[in-house]
Amino acid sequence: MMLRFAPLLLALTAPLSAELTLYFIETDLKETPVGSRITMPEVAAGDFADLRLRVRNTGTSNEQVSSFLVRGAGFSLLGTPGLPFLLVPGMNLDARLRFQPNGSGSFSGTLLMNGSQVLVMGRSPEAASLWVESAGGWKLVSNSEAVDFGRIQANTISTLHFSFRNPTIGPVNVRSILLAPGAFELASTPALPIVIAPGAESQFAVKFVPVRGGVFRTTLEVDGRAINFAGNAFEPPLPEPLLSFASPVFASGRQEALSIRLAQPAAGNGVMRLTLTFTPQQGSPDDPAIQFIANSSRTLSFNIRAGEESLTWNGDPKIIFQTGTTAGLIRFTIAYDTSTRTLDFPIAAAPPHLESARLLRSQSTISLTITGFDNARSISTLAFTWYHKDGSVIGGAPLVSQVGAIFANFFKNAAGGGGFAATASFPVSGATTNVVAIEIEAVNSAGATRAARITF
Amino acid sequence: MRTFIFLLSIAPLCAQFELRSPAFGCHAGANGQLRLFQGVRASLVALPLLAEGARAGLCNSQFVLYQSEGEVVLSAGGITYAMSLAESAQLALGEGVAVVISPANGEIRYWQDGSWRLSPALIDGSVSAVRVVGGKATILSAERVITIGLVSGAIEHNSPAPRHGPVVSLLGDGSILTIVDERWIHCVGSECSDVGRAPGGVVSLTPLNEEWLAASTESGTVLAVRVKQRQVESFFLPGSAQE
Repeated sequence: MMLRFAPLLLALTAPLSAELTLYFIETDLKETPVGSRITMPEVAAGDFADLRLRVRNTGTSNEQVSSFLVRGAGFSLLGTPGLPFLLVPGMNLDARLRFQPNGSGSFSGTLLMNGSQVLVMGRSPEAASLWVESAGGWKLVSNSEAVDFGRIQANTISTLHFSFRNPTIGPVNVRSILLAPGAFELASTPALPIVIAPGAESQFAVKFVPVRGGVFRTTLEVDGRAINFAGNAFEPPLPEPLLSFASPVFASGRQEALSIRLAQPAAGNGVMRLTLTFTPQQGSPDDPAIQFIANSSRTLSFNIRAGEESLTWNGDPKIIFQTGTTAGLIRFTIAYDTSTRTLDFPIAAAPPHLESARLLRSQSTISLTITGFDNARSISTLAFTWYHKDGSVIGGAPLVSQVGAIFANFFKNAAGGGGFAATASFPVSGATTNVVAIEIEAVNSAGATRAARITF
Repeated sequence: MRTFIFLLSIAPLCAQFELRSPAFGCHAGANGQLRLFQGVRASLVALPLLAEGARAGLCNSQFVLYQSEGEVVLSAGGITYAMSLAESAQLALGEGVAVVISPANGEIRYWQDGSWRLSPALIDGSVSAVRVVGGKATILSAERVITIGLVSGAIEHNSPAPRHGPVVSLLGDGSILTIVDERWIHCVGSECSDVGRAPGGVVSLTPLNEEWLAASTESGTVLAVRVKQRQVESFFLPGSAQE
């Protein structure tokens, strides 16, 4: 912890030289002249406190700072430039005076600049020093650096042992040890207050228990003294995802389910990203209906949590997708950590699919609207077999329309896959009421489809 | 493309083909977004028509009809015809006609030939569903099924409604689909049959097209459902399932 508050000043505030004046820089950046003595904030052994100092040329001519240093155990001057340092009138140089005692007691030193001297004093209370095990030994804990619990896998534990030691000649007390709930836990704490005899120690432990990956920080407070803790956790590798389809039927015009099971229950948390790509057969344009139902897109992200055995979308292990109306290859790719797995859903070209047909009859016209899809986008003929009310086939045979050109033109400009709604208007010279039914056959490059008889 | 055929052995005839992308229907979601679905069963693409504020919406090959805050809007051929209406109304679309029934006073307004008109008929405000075929509206209330002529206001059919739950709709053929005790019940006239187990938490049934209805569940999932061969078929509407 860096302590910054105004030091005690003596009334004597003579400049160090005729033109160079030493100041404290307060937290509000106000400059306060330094007297003949600087008293540093009180800090625990191992911790430090800094004061910001400024040397300003208050004269009207150039001045040179030829020496600027501090002498005395526990004191140091940081941030000084290379010397000698030329200060033009009005300009300044800044530095930090640090007090970092390595034990309890009173400390004194001397701040020197261009032959002028300022007494510096500091005190470390008689308290237990805190040590942490480090590389097979022990290291004095300081607020200058966080206690590092290392980098571990999430849901594992890193434990560090600490020791309160009494370097003084009398007993010292530790009255409170506070650690906020989170990734760090006090593992074993002696009953408080702890009274430590001279030369004795009292140990406790802290566990770093991250439940997810990330960087974790907290502060241990010992009798108001703050000690920073840091730890880093990484997620364990995600298990291999195993993709499968619920149905063995690979065809257009369906909603199918993809299931993704994990080879083992997930040991940690992570993200898997599922994407769907479609490669149309024979250079057809893309089919936007080939998508996941959940979000009408071709990408889904799954947050995997420890213990899960399969991927679910809002609790449902079936990931529903549309197969569209175009022949081609749907490829599912799931990316996790640095790996991917794929599964293909090949859709072969198929005869046209007739979804619905609707007949409308007026006095002189019969209108037929058929809806369906041609996943090969190659419908060539439509054959209509009209039935008279006496059961005979009108005209004696199916009437065949060569529709290849108009369908090809339609599919060339259609952005909706192989779906179509075709309306054919048949002018009738005669009583349309004698026409009672029709059968339709559609032919494409993959074969023919005959729709069930449609009646008025 | 002209195809000459002979019908009734009378004269050679010609057939004119028109092709378009199939429009499946519209649905107003719980979030107020009105979406048009294009494509065929189980392979639809959703196109947003209104980002928010839609309470209900229908569309067919000619029209888009929806109710937003304070008004009912009909879009026909790029022209919109708005009508002020604060309360949630029952909407229906037919060939060349749109119908709006106000639950507050039972007034029936219909749009035809470019303007909204008031039908002489008045209906009990507790209308559960409405369908329009030709110039006639079939209206399902709590207790009756009534068919009226929109222009004349004449009641052409009036029969007791089959027992139905609060989630109910009319299909294009005039039959009724409802949910009773978590079962789909399909009624043709007064004959009702169990056509399968209904999903849990269905809160509304609204028409998507002549055949299909949108079944919205309280979890946000929307299924397209239809009755075929005494069974209910269903699939998810994209962008709504598993949400």
